[in-house]
Amino acid sequence: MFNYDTLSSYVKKLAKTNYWQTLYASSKEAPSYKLFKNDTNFTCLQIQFINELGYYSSLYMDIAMGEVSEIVVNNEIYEDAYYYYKLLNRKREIQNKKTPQQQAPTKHQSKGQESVVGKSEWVFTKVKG
Amino acid sequence: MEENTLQDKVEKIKQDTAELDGQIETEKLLSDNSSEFDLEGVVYRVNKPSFEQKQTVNKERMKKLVSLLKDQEQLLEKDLIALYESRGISIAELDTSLDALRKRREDFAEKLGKGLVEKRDEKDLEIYKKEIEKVIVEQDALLMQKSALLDSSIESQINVFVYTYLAYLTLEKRVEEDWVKAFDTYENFLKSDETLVNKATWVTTFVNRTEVPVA
Repeated sequence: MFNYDTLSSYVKKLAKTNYWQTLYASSKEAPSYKLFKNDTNFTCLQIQFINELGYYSSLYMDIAMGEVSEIVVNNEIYEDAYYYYKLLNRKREIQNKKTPQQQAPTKHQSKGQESVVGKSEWVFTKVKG
Repeated sequence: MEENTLQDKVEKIKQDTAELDGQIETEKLLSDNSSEFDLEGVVYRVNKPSFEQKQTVNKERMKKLVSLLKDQEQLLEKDLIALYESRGISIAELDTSLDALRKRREDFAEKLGKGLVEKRDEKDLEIYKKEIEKVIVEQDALLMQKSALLDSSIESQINVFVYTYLAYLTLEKRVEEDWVKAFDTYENFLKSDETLVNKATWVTTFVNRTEVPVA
């Protein structure tokens, strides 16, 4: 019996193997290729494994596209660092794309002060009669 | 020199075998939503908990929580932290150190990630990798220290109880062609073979974690 970190490491190692990557790619195309005995009601560990399969599939794609050198799969520290850097860049890109209005934090209006920001332009009135 | 080389080879084979065993065990855990294992000639399995079992565990968790809260000798995490503080042991300081380490790790990870994208020489990348490895060792030591200090808290006890109880609920044994509940009561489960209790709880904790709320 090993600890959770070791188990997670084994999950990662399995997910990046050629066997599981091929099965993962095939299972997306043809339902006859099954990853597990059960088709539904997955355990937390199985869901974690599916996430890792997806991650490594995207990592191998990045390597094939020349976005990163293949030494990235040499160890988990490289993989994690690359993923972290990619995520950080994506966050920065999203942040840069936002308009200044979107970036500014919404200020709470004090009592009696009418707020225009975020107010619906639609006015619903009760029809009398 | 010759002896050292042989010793190294033996160590390497041992490590490789343990690694292979670990991967086989993990593949077995992944193959289905119920995990089978043999113990002294009996085949057991731990199933993914059903909705009803999760409800039962939640009910038992609350009962246990109330009983621990009624016991004046038991302490909540916040009270235990205050008690440690009065004895000169600061959990807040541990948290500050952990936070600083996390930031340092993120900083090195960003540099390493950038280096990988820029396809820098592996020698340069190794520098960052070694720094991250150092941080991980420090983080692990502090986390273990914190976990050991808070081990007796009510929250920590509830955590252990939830997974042990869930193991009892979901553990079955094979009798001829049928699967039957392994133990009729939680108390009998706890009284049984320690290896079985540990194994069933281990599978439950790692395979079915996040299935039920803990403390």
